[in-house]
Amino acid sequence: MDNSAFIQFIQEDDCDPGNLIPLLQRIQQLEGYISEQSVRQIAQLLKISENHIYGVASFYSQFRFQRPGKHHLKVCLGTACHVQGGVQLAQEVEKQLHIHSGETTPDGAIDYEEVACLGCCAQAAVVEIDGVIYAKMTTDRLIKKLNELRKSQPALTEADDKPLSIPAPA
Amino acid sequence: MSTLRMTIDGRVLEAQKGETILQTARRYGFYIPTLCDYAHLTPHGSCRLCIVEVEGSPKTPAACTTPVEEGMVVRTHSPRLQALRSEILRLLLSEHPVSCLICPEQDHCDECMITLRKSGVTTGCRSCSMDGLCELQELVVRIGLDGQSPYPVFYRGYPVEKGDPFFDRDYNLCILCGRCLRVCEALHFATTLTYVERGNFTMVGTAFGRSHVEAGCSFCGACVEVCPTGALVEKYSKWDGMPDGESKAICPLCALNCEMRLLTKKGQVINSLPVDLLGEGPLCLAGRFGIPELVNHPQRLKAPQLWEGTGFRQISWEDAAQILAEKLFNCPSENFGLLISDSSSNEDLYIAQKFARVVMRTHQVSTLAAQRYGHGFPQVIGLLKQSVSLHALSTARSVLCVGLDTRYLQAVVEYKLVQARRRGAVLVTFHSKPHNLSLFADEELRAMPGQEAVLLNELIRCVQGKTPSAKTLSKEQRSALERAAKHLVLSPLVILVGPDALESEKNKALLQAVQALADALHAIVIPLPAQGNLSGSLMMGAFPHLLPGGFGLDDEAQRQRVMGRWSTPLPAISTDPLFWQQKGRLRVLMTIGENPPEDLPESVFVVTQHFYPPAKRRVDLLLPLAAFSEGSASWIDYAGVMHIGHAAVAPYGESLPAWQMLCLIARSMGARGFDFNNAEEIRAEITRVVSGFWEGGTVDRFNLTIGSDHKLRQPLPTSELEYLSYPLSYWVQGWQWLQTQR
Repeated sequence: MDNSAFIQFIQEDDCDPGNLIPLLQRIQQLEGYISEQSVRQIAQLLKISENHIYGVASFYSQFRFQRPGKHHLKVCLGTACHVQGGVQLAQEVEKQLHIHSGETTPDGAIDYEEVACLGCCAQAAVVEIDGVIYAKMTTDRLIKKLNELRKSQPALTEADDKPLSIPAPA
Repeated sequence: MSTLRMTIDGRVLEAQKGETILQTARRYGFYIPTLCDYAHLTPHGSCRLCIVEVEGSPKTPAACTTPVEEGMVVRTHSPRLQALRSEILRLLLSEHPVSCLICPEQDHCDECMITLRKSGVTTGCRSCSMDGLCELQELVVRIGLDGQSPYPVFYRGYPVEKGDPFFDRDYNLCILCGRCLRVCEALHFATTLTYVERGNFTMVGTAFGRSHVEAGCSFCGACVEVCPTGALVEKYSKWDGMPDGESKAICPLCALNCEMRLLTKKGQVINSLPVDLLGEGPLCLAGRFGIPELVNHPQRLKAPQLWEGTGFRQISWEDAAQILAEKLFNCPSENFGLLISDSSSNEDLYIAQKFARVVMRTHQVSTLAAQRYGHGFPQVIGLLKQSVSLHALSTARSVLCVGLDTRYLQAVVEYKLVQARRRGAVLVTFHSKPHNLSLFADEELRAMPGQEAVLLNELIRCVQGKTPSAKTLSKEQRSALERAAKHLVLSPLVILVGPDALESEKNKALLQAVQALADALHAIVIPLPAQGNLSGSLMMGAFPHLLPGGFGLDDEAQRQRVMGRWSTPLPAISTDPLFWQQKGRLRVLMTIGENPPEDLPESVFVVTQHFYPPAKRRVDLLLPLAAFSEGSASWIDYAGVMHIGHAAVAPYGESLPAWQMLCLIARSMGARGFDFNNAEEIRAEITRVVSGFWEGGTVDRFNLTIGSDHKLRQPLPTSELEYLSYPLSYWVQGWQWLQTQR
């Protein structure tokens, strides 16, 4: 967002330093992440230091500082998924994509995140790809899925794996 | 404030309402261990070591965050508390390289394992540069660890950050007490340090992992001072260990003349610290990190040197004094000149002008201030005449900063501005360059270089209710001026004039406009020159047109007073204020803490300096000068207040303070009135001719003569901080590096 777009974007109550988090949330909603430029613009708007803003934003796992990829991949590490091998799934993703949680592949295709619970523990271990949940995931199926994603297809809306139709959290 | 009664460790005592248990206990001399607590910082309650037992409560609240109550019964020590504190310490230490604290060999380590030190990674106290200075280490000894720790040691494995100048950061040793980031927030508009991430991954850092230079750090060093562990340490004094002495000194690097504590070890200055970090404020990077490098510079002169056509030969002081006395004896008074640095002490300046006037019978004594400030010098003197202390900011409702950048230098001003702004004062900045205050100012006025006076005159029109006149102003500029005017009419208004404005190219017009604005709004103007003792050099009369006390040469009463004190008539003829620039005039030019000007005609030069002068400057006799930390000396700050600093160490090699050197020469020339044994005696004489000259007193600047507007050349191009005519970057490596980053 350039400066003029940012000025258009801000609302009246954004100018209160107490409303920093809602402002960050709206920026992330629009841009998908919190860029260095946005942090500088917020600092100028609210007259607080960039380091302070980063300190606040990095406290919350909902904020990301890297441009999101075309496809979003989430691996659940909640208790049930952990027991069903969520950790192995997470390790497989790191091995296949060479990125850690919170990062995006260098080609911008896939971003990856470890999450605590996706709310469907009965189907553990689960993986969420572009808002669609894949139940009882195994490493073999995960590798297959990743290969499909890497072929740079458009974001998957429906998969052949009979996904659970749970809408992604807003 | 109402008092209440409470009991601590069985002793009934009176506490003030609103105090915390820790404050009350400390006041009565009870010891409660603390780590995250630091004087004047808001309580944080994060280390939990100050837990106490309060009767009637099953919990153990932290003493630093719990307010006292009527009838409260507190126990600061009990077996239960001891067990809890010991456990808390063990948890703290599980993430801190701790091997030495639990090592059974620790008692013999100092004698047997000295080569273990200075390792790349800190694995225990013996390989940590803060060994013996660490608060955590001290607490472990004081509280004691009961038995073996059941927790495995977790080394976080962060890389040690050494990229920034002045201090290193090893966050593997950090215990997350939060002192550094709290002190950063208290002192600065732009905090550099913050907690990054959370939970187990929390660390102290900056936005996006930037270096401190990129993150806007001003290197005031406050975080290093408050750090209880070895996580933050000064680069220069990293392995110096425990200091063996401390003395009060005055920083000579700018006109703020901050008081500081010089820490010494084995006759050398190893560190400098502010006197009261959160009271008087921090030092800037020059005072905080530059001093040990400056006074311990390896190239400093040790003994007098005589030029012999091809090189310098070392000679004794007696020989030097004799050679010089002979030269001066044969030098007619109109051919003698003395240049002295305006970062010299009052004693040096006073004796220098007395030497020129009594021994050499000439008024040709000066600093380079006239040359530096050019046409605007009378205006600079005019501002210094009415200047008051920065304490005026504590009651100001609006502040205008003209040409002031407090990012690196004059950091204490930022602290005062932060306090003023948190109190509700509005801040308007006026500068021709990007500056650190702009982000936090309520209004920022940006002038084109050279056009400052035009914009400021427009501002005056605005505050007088007129519309801005010039057509050259853009619409945005005009509305910015109108908004700024609305802020500035709030009274009392304080105008701070920084070095960038005082030394700007068209300073005369700019400073006249500042004065006009101040008159229009009845504002207080505080100039902040970059020279350590500009006020002192004026008040000591170290200018051709001034007598001691700042009186003009034609002031008959002061002439009589000075002549009576010196029991000798004063030379009559007044001289050119830029005598050293006249070709063929000088046969002997003495400079003290000042390098001889380039391309001067053949004549005899005597230089007193720290170092060898730069190449292509002719010098016949080179005398070593003691640094400010090596003798008792006084300074007069921007507000006319006199400060005395004490000797921290003995003079380096055979160097002498300038006054002592001049007295030595004067005596060997048979002059009377130079029998001073120490700086106190000189100060006693100055007190007789300069009213208000005592420690903490404000000198009487009422008679300070502004002098006429000489046809001077433009100001010197650099506005860099100088000490004894060498730019600070010459002495301090970190500062040199920072200059390249701008």
